[in-house]
Amino acid sequence: MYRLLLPLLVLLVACTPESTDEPTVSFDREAMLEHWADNIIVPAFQDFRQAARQLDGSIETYLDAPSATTLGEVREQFARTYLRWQRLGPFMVGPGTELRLREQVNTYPTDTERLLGGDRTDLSLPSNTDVQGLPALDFLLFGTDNPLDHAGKLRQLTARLLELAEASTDAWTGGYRDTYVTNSGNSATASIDRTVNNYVQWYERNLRAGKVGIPAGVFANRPLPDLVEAPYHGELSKRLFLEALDGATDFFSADPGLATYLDALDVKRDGEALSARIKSQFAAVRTQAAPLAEDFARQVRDDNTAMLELYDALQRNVILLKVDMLQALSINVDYVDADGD
Amino acid sequence: MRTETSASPLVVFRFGFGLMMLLSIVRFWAYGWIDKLYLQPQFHFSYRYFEWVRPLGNWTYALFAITGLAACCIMVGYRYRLAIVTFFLSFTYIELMDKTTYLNHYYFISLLSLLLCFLPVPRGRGRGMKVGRRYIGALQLFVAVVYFYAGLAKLNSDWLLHAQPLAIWLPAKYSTPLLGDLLQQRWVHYAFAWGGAAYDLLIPFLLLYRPTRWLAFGLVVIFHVLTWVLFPIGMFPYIMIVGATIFLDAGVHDKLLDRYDGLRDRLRADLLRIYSKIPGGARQLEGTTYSAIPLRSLRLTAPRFASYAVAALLAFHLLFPFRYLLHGQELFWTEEGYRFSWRVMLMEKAGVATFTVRDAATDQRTVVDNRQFLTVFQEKQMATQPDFILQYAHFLGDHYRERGFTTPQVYAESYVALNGRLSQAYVDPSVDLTNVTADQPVSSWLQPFQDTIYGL
Repeated sequence: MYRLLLPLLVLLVACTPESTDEPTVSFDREAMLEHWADNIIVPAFQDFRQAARQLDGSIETYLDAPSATTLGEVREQFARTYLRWQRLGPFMVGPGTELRLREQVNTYPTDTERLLGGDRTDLSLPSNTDVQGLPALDFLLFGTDNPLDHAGKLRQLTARLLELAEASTDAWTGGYRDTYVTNSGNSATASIDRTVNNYVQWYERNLRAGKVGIPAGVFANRPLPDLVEAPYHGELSKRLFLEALDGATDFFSADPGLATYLDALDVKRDGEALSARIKSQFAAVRTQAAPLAEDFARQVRDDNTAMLELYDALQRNVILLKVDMLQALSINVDYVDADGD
Repeated sequence: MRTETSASPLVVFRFGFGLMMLLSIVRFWAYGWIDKLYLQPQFHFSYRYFEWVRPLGNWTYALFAITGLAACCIMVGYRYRLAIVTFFLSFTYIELMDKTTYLNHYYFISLLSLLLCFLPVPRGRGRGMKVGRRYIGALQLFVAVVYFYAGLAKLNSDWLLHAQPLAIWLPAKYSTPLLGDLLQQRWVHYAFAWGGAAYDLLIPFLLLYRPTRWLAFGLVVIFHVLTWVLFPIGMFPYIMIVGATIFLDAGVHDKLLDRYDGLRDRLRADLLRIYSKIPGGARQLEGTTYSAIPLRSLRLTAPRFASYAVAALLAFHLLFPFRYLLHGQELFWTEEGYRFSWRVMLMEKAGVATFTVRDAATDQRTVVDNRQFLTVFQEKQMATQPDFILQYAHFLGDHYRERGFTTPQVYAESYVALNGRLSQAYVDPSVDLTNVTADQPVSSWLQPFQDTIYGL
């Protein structure tokens, strides 16, 4: 009987459909993590730190010699820092989370009353995230009669911003980079899973909802134009959005990156590569955003329909990224520690 | 059928079952899952007709303790009947508290423990006891059906022709030692799919047929160890390996228990020697050694009603999984009749569901943040299973009525991707879910599945 049985089993296995010309997947995940860390994440942190340093310097110059020129320089450095920040958005894995970087750098809207009221605010307290960071600077630089009246605040806020930028960049360059790259396994706590989860969550919450959906009133009864990013600057919100969108697109299309990973796994949906679908949806979002006003608040007030259309375009990629891509890469949405069957 | 056989297979089975259950309960507790799965969530997805089964707050720990204690008693054979009934009731209660945690193997344990309530299982060592062969046959049939039905469920085009969902799951196990690279190969996915289906369909027969029995038992061990390496399935592999021992000859079990007796006697003798040095100590351990107890040919029988119960339970076991035939739609899409039918590892289903609550009286609307009410795990399970979506939508309606919405309507915008297909809209977004009842066919408020899956 045994003599019969083994050939039978072999036969069963051998009778599987011919594995045609489908490629063998040999995707180097550690190389992808290295590329992410060395060519995308760490440079983004360094650029942000560089901008924060220059902003801090320009504030000093301005407060030493206040003039329209030095204030103009501060405002320019502020915009530059805010734009650089957009590229960091998805990368809160590790030091970003530990330092609560996103909360402290970009929580908006700012509680302006409390910001002006408190003199000796402890900025590290979680309750004070809405009176600091770039949104608070936006208010002080563009929303007050004279920024000079708030010299102390300006100093305190830029110093804190710089401190956070230095600390997070140092953490990445001083050890976390290696931890990150070597944690290349497939557990839920490994770097790929956590980075991709962070990326998708950021795209959904911060890019789609925070910059577009919430001001357009998707989650409320009416449009809320005051809730755009950098509302006091008045000409920045669209640029910030586009910079973040570029960040999202570039990270997805990096080589090696998520797109090439999906291609290596030969992920096709209805005959089309999933990576191509996602890329073309990113392009559609960009097309949708192109004719919008520089100030999203004005766009919401004047013609919110266009804003809502932009939101819908963004939403389509939430589905493709969060449902289709995560499924194809077998990455769980967040970490759930339980048995399956 | 009326022939009698040694009861030792039942004794070994009882011991193994009790041990596995004890370990499962301790493991569940040690991982902090009692708190995480039953105490932290503020909302629980209950089974239809069992809405009254709820977690008991901190008493839930006591419930687990009772279950563990009962498992311990089953293992050692102390007050077996009381222990197995207690175990069945408490374990099943736990499983009914929240269907988010539904697993086929939990259902397996519930049903098996119910069956064990009616079998004439010896209480202690059961030395020399005889039982009707049919009782052992009942357990064998019970285990065989689980395998065979799991095999039948794999006979569909996704599994056999596309190697799905294995083609998604296996490549992600790239860091598995030795196997990592192999799991990237397309042919390996097909080999696993076909091999798995063949295994499930054939193993009951290979276990039943005496000449192939040991080979089959070896395959059981290899198969389940492999699944343990590749998938997060907890204690299940061990439970199934223990379960398969019921197919081994009574002689094997006799030998196993004899060895246990020998061990016990030696231990007893050693203890006696030590105790004899203590004044008066020896008297406490007086008595005969185990193996010296004369063999009584005690015949264990079950009362007539128990035999009927076993027959009814097995009939249920055989028929219930086929209830999906009553619903015409694609089973993987609607999941009507999917649970409780040994459909294991058949689907990779992912989704998102966003709910909008609208007050029809004022046209006020709000988009729900699911995480406000559900845990990550609950949200994940909810997004792809219609009965979860419906129950949650009704909960949202009630919640917003309390918060001042006069006539709350609940709409869901949701997308689901099934076994590597492009995601497609799931719930019909124009349907007010508060108007939908659980009696309505799911297909009346779901979008139709845009593809066909062939097979059983």
